[in-house]
Amino acid sequence: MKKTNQNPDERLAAAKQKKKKRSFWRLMIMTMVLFAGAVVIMQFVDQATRDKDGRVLAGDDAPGFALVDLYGEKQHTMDEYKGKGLLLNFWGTFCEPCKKEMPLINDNYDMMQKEGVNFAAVNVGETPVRVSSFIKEIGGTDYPVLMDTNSAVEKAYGIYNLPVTFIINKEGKVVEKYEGEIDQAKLEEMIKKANE
Amino acid sequence: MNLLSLSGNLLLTSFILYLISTGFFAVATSGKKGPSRSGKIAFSLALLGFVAQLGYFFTRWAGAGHVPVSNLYEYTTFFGMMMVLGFLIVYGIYRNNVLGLVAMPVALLVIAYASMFPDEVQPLIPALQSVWLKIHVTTAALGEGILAVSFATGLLYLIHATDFNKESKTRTWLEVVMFSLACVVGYIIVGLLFNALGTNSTIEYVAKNGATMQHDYTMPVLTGPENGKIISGSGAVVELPNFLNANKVNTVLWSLIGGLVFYILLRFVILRKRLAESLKPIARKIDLETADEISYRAIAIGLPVFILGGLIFAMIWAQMAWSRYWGWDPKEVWALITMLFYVFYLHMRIQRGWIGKKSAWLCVGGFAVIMFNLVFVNLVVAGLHSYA
Amino acid sequence: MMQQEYKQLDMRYEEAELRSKRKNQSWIDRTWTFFSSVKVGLWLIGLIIIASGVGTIFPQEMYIPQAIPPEEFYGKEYGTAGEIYYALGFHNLFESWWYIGLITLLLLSIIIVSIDRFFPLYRALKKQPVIQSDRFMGGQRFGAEATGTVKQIDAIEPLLKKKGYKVRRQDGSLLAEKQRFGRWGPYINHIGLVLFFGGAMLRIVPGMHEDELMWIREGETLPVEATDNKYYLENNSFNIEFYDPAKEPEKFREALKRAGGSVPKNYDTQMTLYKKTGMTDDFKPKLEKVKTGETAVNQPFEFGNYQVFQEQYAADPEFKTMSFNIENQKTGKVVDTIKVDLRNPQETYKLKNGYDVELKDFLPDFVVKDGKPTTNSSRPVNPAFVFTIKSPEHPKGERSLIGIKLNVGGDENQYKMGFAGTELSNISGVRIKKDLTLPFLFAGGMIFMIGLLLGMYWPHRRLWLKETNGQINIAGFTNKNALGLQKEVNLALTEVGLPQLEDRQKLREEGESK
Repeated sequence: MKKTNQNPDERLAAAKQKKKKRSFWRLMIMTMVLFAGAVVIMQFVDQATRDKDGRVLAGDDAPGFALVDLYGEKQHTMDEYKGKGLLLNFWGTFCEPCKKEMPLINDNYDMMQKEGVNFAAVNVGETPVRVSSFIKEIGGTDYPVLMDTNSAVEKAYGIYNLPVTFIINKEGKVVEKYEGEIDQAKLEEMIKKANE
Repeated sequence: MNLLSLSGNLLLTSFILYLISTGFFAVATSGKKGPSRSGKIAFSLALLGFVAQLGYFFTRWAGAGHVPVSNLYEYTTFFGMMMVLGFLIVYGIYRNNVLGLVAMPVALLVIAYASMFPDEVQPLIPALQSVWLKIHVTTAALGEGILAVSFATGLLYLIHATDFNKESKTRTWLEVVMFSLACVVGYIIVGLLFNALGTNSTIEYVAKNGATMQHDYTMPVLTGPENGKIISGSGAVVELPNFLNANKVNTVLWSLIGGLVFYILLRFVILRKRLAESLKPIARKIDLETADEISYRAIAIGLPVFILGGLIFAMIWAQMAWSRYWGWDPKEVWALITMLFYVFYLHMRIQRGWIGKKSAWLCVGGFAVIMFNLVFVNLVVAGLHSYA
Repeated sequence: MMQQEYKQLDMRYEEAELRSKRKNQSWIDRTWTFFSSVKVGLWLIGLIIIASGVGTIFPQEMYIPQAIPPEEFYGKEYGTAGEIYYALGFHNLFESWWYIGLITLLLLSIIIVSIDRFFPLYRALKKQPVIQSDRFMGGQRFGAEATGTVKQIDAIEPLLKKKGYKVRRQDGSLLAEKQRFGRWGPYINHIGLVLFFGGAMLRIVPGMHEDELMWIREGETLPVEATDNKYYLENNSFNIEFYDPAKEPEKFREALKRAGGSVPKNYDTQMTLYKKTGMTDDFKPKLEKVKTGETAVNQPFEFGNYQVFQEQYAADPEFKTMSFNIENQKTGKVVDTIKVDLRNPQETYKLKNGYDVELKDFLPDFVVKDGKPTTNSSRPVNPAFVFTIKSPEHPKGERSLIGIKLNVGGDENQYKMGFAGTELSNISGVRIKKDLTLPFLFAGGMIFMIGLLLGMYWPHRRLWLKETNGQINIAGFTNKNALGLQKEVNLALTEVGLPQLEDRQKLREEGESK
């Protein structure tokens, strides 16, 4: 009733305005629904790759941890390693390639430290008796061996195969997840990556 | 007297009452149009049968100590009972005797089919120990029972509307439906027969995972597992790869054979015409409009009940028992398919004007989906609901 | 009597013009129009039905045994058909992009269809005229004509009111209406559906949903990752009870025999919940007891927004402790007994009379590799121990390797470790769950159900009566349950001497078939 006394031009303009507004809302609704669907799809795709390859992948923030070393002397946390590169290695005394790579890593530990890269080896839920016996056997390590007694960190990182080493940069982001035994060349590459 | 044997007797009583009621419905429809005396008698008998079956239900409940819907025997029997209830409700509204003549035999068939499963009471596994067992299963079965009425009227519509003298797709497919029903009868007859003959066999075989397994056959062995070893009874005619359950395939084969014999007997010896065609004189007694309207109303009434029991209550219980309201278990998926199918029906009807024949076919299809979920998903696909 | 036959009207939207039916130009409007078609929605439903059905032919990935990778499982178990199934992605259908895509498009269709139809319908029903045209009244499915007077219309008004109709009058004409809200049913249930799916989607918002399966051994206290390790759960004991055919009532005996043995009757975990308040000096969590309770199937243990469900249990219990007697081989005298906790073994055990036992190594899953004793895993499946027994006679200690059916070096020693018993512990699998989306889902489900009931059980009914020059024109409308409308209205019509409603659709069809 209100608009009947407007002239035709005004009415046309009003109609156009209304139409524009309607188109806008239509676009909004369609975009929102499709976007929501896309987000769900992405979520499932992401989840599927994670289920297959573990929970922490390259590009993710490295989950925090607070673990005590083998001798119960010091607690090491993710935060203390921030600002420096970190190679976070998961191992077990029952894993053959883990045993093989340990002397190599130990020989290179000083060099790593000089390069500004830390190294920590997380044992996956074994007993201190077993681990200390094993470490004695190989003649001790210079780098800290952390005891993940109730496998909480192992779970948080989603470890399926051993050994696995996460290359974590200064910002605490995972640069690469490496599964398998480390050799000299790989180690040097890792140090470089952790420092980037 | 023992509650459980009383319960068994009550079920038998109700079965017989349903049978007689069907007879009276036949008399009622053979007479002149309109509600006759025999129609009233038939309805009363069906009602009485229903009361007897209620008696079965509650005495068994008391005897077993839990609601008797916890295995295939109990659930299928209850589903038959809910079909009768669905029919009684619709009869109350429309007073149609012809409907009784189709709905009651289908319910009878379902109850007879139930009797093929082991009927002893069993204690409940922890997952089933919940009040939601009664709430979810009974509501879902009631919904399915009401929906099943639309199958009866849909079938009547199709038979009425088909000209059997002309070749048509409807004529062919109606025979397929009749043959499927014949196979259920075949399964029951063959099962009873071999049970009486005591033709049991046991065959041992090595499963994929290396474990030694056994098939206990109650029917003569046609299909056996790969490299099976006969422990007792007869050996297999054909050996099947182990991803097929040779015992189940054997049962299906015997049902088909029984169904075929029964069908051929009816079609070529007794009736000497198509089974659907022989129902035409009955179907003609219900006018197309009414059949169509009843189908629609049965679905309009039954679908909300089914959704409430089969999906909403189901989700609430699943959340409590399994910590997730939805897990894509085959039974869940088929409940969803049932719902979507009827939703499809309603929209087709209301929005796209599918009434009459097309709509009637959807009613038949919906019942096929329900039966698929009851028979095949339990026996073949299995999953978390394998108990019922 | 019947002056003119009118074409039956499509009353679904009261003849209102649907926006999507207008001519449109832009691609936005064209897409909108596409999805506003019910046909498109029905195609989507059809596709979802077919896809879902196919998805149940073989088990989904989540239900297959975890020991075998899915890429091998389907081919091995089901042959070529299984391989095809896997290759086409049906093994994980319900999380596949195209299944979720179909559901998204269906939701979009539901939303657009509802918006497109609701507003015109709402407007049309809100400003209904009492006096309708002859074309409108003649176009209704139900109707009748007769000679009559306004007095008859006056007389029917209270009768209809008594039946719950709202009656409006204008110039002698009458419009009676009831249960208009039934028309909103479909829109309400569509809103419920959208809310339900929206709620389910909220899961991906961080913090809304946590889900973790925890295996806890009896006596073990573990941090709950789903709570950011702020809470710890201790398994005080896990109990499982099976139906014992000998003890159960007679009536169950047959069924238990058929089931072939172990049918679980009940299983539950007694647990204690702790809150972490800080760390001790030796880097252990400081725990404060919050509560104790039980989780059983169908009865989750609750704390805060979390629920702990009893989900699984390990079929075989695990070794928890092993005890040994320190014996003098010559005299057979037992010096003392020690108990080794296999989860956290002590290194030294002080015994009576100056005897000492040191645990030099513990191999939980003993195996010999390259001639050296070692362990295969960290699980105490086949434990072996390297002990040194220090006695007054042998202050440096005698070394021996002890395991199940294993004793190396023990025979020559003066003292030996004799196996003296073991304790087992059950392992309970509990699922920790937090789901803040549930209220949305519940609300969505309820709204859906209410809408469905309104739409299905409360039909909209209307009756128009119009008098022109001694002729009374009657028209009736209902969106469901034709019989119900006729029954209700015909009685009133008869009472005031007017003819009953005819079902014109039926008459027309009968005419056609003749």
